[in-house]
Amino acid sequence: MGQVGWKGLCLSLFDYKTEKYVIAKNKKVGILYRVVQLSILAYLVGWVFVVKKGYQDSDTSIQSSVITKLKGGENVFFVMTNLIVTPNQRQDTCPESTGIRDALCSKNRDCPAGEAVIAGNGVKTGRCLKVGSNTNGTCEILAWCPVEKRSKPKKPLLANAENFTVYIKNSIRFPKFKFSKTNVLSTDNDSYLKNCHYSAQHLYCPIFHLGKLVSWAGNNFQDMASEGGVIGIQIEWDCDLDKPPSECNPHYSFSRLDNKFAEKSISSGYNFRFAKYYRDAGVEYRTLIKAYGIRFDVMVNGKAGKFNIIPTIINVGSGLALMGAGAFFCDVVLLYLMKKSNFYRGKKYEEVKSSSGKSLPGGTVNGNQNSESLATLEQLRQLQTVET
Amino acid sequence: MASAAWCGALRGFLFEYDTPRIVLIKSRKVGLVNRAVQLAILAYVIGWVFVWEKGYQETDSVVSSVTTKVKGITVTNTSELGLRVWDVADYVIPPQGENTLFIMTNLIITLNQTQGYCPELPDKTTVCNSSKDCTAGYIGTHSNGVQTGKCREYSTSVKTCEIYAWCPVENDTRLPKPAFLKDAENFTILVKNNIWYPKFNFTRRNILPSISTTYLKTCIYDPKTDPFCPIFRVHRIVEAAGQNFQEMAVEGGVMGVQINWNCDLDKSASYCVPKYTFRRLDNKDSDHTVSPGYNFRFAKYYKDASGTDSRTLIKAYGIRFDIMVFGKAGKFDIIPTMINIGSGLALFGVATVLCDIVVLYFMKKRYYYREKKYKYVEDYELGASETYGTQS
Repeated sequence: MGQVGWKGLCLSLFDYKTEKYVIAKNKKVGILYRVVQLSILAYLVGWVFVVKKGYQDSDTSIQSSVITKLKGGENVFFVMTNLIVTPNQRQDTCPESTGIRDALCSKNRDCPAGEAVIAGNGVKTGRCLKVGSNTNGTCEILAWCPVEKRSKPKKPLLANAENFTVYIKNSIRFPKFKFSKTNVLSTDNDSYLKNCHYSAQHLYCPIFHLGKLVSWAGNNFQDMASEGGVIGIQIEWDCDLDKPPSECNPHYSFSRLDNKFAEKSISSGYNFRFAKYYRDAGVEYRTLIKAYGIRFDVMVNGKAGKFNIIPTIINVGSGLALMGAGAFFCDVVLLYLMKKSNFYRGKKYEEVKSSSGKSLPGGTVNGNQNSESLATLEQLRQLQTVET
Repeated sequence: MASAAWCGALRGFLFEYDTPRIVLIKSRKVGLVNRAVQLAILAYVIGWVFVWEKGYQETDSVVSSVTTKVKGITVTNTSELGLRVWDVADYVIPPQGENTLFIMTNLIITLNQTQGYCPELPDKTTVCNSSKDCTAGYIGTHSNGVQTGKCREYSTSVKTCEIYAWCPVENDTRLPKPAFLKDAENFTILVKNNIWYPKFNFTRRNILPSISTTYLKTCIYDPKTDPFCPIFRVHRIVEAAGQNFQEMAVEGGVMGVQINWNCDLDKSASYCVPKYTFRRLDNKDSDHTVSPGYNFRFAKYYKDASGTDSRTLIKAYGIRFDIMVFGKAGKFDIIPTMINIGSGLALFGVATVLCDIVVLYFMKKRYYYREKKYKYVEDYELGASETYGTQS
């Protein structure tokens, strides 16, 4: 008994189970099924393979280095367009600026000594200084005096910065495919870079005219120059490495990164303070500069694709699985939406009640007596065809 | 005749539809198990994939730019420097940084250095008793200059090799404790952050539209009462990261300010707000690490009336604030929805597989069901007579 069981099990390993099909010779459903299959195939070939390049393996971890020929940081450079200069400051006591609310006073008691002025320039000494015969004045402070003026020039002082040019050199590498490239034309002609500017004709000349750059970002340089701002230069490398390397080019896009909405909203623009220190007759002096200007952030990102067998097989497999959706849809139409749906349902479904007996093990018994008359011929055929 | 065969084949291809034959088992137990498993799968797909993980949304990562501004004044009074005020231009170095900000809290200052000959700082390799211990032209990895070969008196108790360097040599063996600019904890930092989700063309500032100028002039960030005020007090940032400012200020450190923008763009834009968290990024246990804290040297150069160069060397210790912006936005898109519906539907197949196993291998009437499901077909070559009597 056990031996027969084991032998049966081993032999059953070599059995192949396949589905039994009902062929419905129905023109409408047949055409519908082929149309659905064709559209799925068109989607698979057209969208997944041709447009989205589903046969390619991709690398999105681009390694990039940016060198700019203007002063700043690594990927950032700053161009000053407007400034407030306070020269020859030294450590001394003087009255605080009138625009600072915390320093307004009418008597000495309003200025407690040692208290730092909130949003101010120094530390109060305890005296209230008034100009002429005014009743109100400002506290005397210990600070770098004279104190900085609050108003900036209405017309930007360095408006001509618009004509400056910046040279941005960007080298990238896709580590998965060991592919590197730089955005500068590789040429022996030294004077090429000396004369060219970036434009549609000179895509490999990364020398940008600042005024044009700001206008490509949708802003006017002179408008931005008085309060400053931040402009983003996005360098995008979208490369298909199945094509020759000369087709792998960067795409530049420019956008304004700081407040895009109202120009004069609170705390808009970009500015910072720095000082130059010097010494005269042993006393330390400094020149304080509040610089307004445009900061350019260079952001590099990219994606490369190259043919690889694995994503191809994966996409083919999922495409084929999608064909099942077509079969499901046509089943719904055939079994529930057509006029003769009851007939088809009868042919497709074989009902088995759980309460019927006749559970003979391992049997080769005819269960269905009705079709026995046709069984002799039918049993030689694999499929049962149903005519409309 | 051949054309008729082709026509027949074409007609068969275009106008016929084949569908698999299904065995419908009317059993209460199996039916219930099937529906229960299907319901569980449906609950998973709707509850987890769609509602919780928002599987109907397309996501995009944030592109951001950060600018910072520090305000604050402190006063120091020492014998070396006298009464001195320190303001923003004095303690923020460099004046502008990309996503980082450095505030000097402690320093070792060496005034009026000029190029000349002086004794080296005493340590194991530089202490000498006579000229024999010093080699001319020697430069060690920690030397401040090049040795001349002579041995000079550094102080009344010790002699060191003479070097040609910026003299007097800096003595960085003792750090001021408490920190020189200890009032830096009252400084405030304004962080302006603009974010952009390029796929959805959505921009936002961390200074929300609901904030007015008067509010911005007086508010200070607090996680409970003012969570959207972009002005941070240094002391609170350090405290929120679980650190002590005065301890950190002596040797310096690196603090991370994380701004998290997680936005659901299917909701109104006013729900897209930043969340601030603070962390200490460098190693905090100064007893167990070599080279703790954060410091760097810089110099201010002067020229006197006779044209000689001199400099003030400053070894600056302080806290560097790294501002890290990250986040993801989601918005409804038809493609991820279809993909998730498709994979959810595919999962229903699991119910069929499970119930098939139960019906065909575990039920009492399994042999009966197996007869109904499977049509046994013997190998064609063994003869047609063998197939007689097999199940329909």
